[in-house]
Amino acid sequence: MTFSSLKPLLILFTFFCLPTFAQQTYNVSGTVRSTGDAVEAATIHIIELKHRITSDSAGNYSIDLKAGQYTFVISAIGMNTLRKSIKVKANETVDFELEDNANKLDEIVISTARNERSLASPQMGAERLSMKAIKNIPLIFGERDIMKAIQLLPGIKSAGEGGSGIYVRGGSADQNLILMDDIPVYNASHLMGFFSTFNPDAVDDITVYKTGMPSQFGGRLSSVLDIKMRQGNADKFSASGGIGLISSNLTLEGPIHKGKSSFLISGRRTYVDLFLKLSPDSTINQNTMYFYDVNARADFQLNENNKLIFTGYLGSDKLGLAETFGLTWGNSLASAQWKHIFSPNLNSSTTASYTSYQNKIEVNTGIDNVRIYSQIKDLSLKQNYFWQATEKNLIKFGFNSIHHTVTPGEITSQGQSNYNPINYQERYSLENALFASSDWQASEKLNVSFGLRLSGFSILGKGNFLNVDPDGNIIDNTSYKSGELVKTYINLEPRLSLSYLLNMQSSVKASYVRNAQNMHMISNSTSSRPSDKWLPSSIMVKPEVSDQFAIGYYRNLFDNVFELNVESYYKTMQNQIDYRDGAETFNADNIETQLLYGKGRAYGLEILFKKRKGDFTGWLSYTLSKTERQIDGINNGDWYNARQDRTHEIALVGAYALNKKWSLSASWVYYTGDAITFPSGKYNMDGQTFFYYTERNGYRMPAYHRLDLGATLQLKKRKSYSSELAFSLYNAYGRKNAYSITFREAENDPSKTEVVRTTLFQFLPSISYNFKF
Amino acid sequence: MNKLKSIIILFPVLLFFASCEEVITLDLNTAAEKYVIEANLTDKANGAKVTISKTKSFNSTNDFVGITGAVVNIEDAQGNTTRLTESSTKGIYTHPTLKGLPKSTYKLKIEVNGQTFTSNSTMPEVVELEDVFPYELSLFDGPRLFTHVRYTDPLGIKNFYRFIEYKNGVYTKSIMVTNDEFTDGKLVNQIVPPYEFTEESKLKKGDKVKVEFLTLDEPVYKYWFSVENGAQGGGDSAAPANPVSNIKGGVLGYFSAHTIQSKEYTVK
Repeated sequence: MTFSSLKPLLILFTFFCLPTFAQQTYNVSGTVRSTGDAVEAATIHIIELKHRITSDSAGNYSIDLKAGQYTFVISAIGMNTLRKSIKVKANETVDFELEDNANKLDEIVISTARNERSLASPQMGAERLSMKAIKNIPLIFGERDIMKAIQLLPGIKSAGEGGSGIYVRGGSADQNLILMDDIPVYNASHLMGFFSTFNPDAVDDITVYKTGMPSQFGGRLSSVLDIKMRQGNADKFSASGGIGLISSNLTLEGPIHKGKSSFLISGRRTYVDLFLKLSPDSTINQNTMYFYDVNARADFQLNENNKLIFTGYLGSDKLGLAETFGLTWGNSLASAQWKHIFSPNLNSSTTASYTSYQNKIEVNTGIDNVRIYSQIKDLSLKQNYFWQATEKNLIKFGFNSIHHTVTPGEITSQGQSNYNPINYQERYSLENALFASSDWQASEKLNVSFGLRLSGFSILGKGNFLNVDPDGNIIDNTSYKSGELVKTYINLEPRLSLSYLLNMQSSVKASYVRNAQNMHMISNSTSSRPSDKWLPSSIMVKPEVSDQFAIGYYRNLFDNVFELNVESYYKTMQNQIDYRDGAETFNADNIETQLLYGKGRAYGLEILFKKRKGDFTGWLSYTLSKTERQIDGINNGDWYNARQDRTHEIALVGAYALNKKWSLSASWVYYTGDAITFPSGKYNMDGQTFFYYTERNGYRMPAYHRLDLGATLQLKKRKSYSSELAFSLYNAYGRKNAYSITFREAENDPSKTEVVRTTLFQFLPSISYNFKF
Repeated sequence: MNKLKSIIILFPVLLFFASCEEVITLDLNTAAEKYVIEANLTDKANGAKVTISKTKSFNSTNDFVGITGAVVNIEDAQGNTTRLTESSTKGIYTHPTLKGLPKSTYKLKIEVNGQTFTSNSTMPEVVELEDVFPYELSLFDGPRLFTHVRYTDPLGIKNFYRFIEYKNGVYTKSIMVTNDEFTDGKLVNQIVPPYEFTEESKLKKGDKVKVEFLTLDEPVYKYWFSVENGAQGGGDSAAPANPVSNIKGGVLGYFSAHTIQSKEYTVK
């Protein structure tokens, strides 16, 4: 063996083992924080060693270094990168404080932070948006609604005018896993979708995963929306709030034990109905329509190694028509989370949670009195471990168990009523998952994240379960005892992502992800309705499964002032569910006789171009996509465009800091109209005109576009009190976008038919006053 | 109940957010013509009537263009076949005396231009129409009179009903069907909602209201129920589709053997 052949080997050896070569090593450890909150998964890059480590869920990191001078570069999604020089000469604790890069009032930043960290991270298809970041985006009703703000990102489509529902990469609205502090939320909207469940003042940020979901997340096909509530300020009391045209809110926060524990409580209520009360028309002023919600969170840092977090949410919508009709619905959520550090390299978080969505319809006409109640209720336990196995390998593993109880409908009546009491069978199921992943820095340039999720869905008695033939006829009806196992569906969901740094400014990534979904919501209406029901997998309803492949290119330009992301994906979906024509959807016991099953596919290209710094900031997002379904029994079994198939979608968002007082913003969106079914003829029937439909979704709604403007005026700012006025104008040029298109006999000439377009929201101004002290 | 529920849920949204309606033009395709059959047999004389027409383009007029020269036969459970004859109006086939018997099944066979369409329908039992009356309710457009129909649903058997309302002799076009899934064996006061919640559709003093009360079999109920899915051109169905037909051979329409009763009242 000659020396020359040894040399490369030596270099390799040196490269990989540098830290352990040190004769005298010291331990450097600490916590990465941002405004008091621990920052999970921050990357700590030690420049001299070309070595990266990651902070754990409690923000902690630990590394052994030989004595010397080092440059630490700390970065995290949505944070400004911090550079710090550290001289190591003993074991020491060094904490890092990161600044939210959405922090500046006059700057819109969507915090996908294409900095060094995200270029190198194998995570793709993820966007983080902080509440602070969307502060200046003009949004409908002046509400800084996080569910609407994310609709301005590529690949995420609005489910309807002014609505908070979303379609992600060809998925339907029920295929998004919506988590609030790790608690699943089943109905994320208020007021038919015009408001989301998430109070802007209580929310800290949202991370949206369109692909490459970490293996700890599962249960929905399209996306994960990981919403984190704000932690109360542990140092001082403060109050903030806003008064708007439609709603007002108030938030109180402060220490319970200074520096160690804190609370936050935030409430919001709309008062549309107060305006109704002002109406002189007695028919209108007797109606009610409002919602309220309350968020609460308490954090207790018990000691260095233990932290407890309690989260609660209660929200309710109420719609009433005089004394006759009442509709009430809402979510209740609660959780307790324990974060524990076993050692610098191993820590865990344990979350027990409860979530419930309930909906009640009451009719009392004087000759009829009936109440219909339905609910979905989950009890869940989630255990996560974070183990820094080696300095180049972070392993996460754990399990998640959810017990679902679905009450599809209870009809009760009092006094005189047309109706017999009915209780549709409650459905019970247990959803378990084991997951593990490894984030491995394979080389200087190559990062790999590999994960596996094993999910099982067990359907439990008691109850009758149907077997149904392809025509919807019941073949048999089997009865199961209480607690008896009816069926278990097992799915193995691999998750793989790779990133390769081309140079310091650009990288390429690729990923594959499989997801399985066992809770389904089928809706045959165009609007989000509180009565839409969740249906668990059964003998006939199989788990939905999706496979998604994605590739992407990421580049920072002009000294990180601009960034460009390009992603492309191909996704297939199995066991997609739809209603038969003329389905009767109320009878939950026989619902399987009303269903059809098929498959879906979606593919597209998404481009995000962003200016991150300067007086003018903003982004341009463009999506080119195709979404199709094929279901035997619909459209002659041929592939057809899904309703949410929109070929082009553009969003242009900009903010400009005019001076210290004024900041201006604007957003413009354009998208191809939804695929829709219109008639291709008509005929006489029943003494009136009926319309004749041929193919499913063979037409398009007119293209949708809209400009929104916003302005914020900073009022007098004192040390203890600050306030601002926020103005917005929704649909500034008054585009008559079609909310619906209907067909009818012409009003002035019944021998003709006409097409009627219904438009909502032309020039919708709003003003709100926000304060903080 | 379903229909009213969806109206009630949707309406406030449109009310509070000041929507605007406008007639627009839209370029719609014209599909290949398809036969349309509307076939009824009742338990009363003069109730046997079959109309045959075809679909037409969206922009043509709404007048009825009957298809002449069809052979229309109705066969009863005993195998007796009765041919309906074309009336003075082209495309309408009737019989002066043919009527059905409750609990009997009837077969329809239509031959037209070389095509054959068949169907069968079972006439259900008669359920007595007890009363038709107005009752004031205050929903989203203030107090208005709603026509109600009273009947007692027979216990233990599946029943399907249709209510056809006429105001001053004019059909209101509100297609209202129900079953007894929630009302088995109950005394039912069924509301008949108006086609549209407009000022004109409010009942006024002196209005004469007549309701025809039909008992249907399940496939016919399904046909009328699925009309809600967009056949009348409105609604918020995400996937409008043609009503589910009980006629074989590829046509639009239905064959209904039903019982019929009617009652009237005058608004005071």
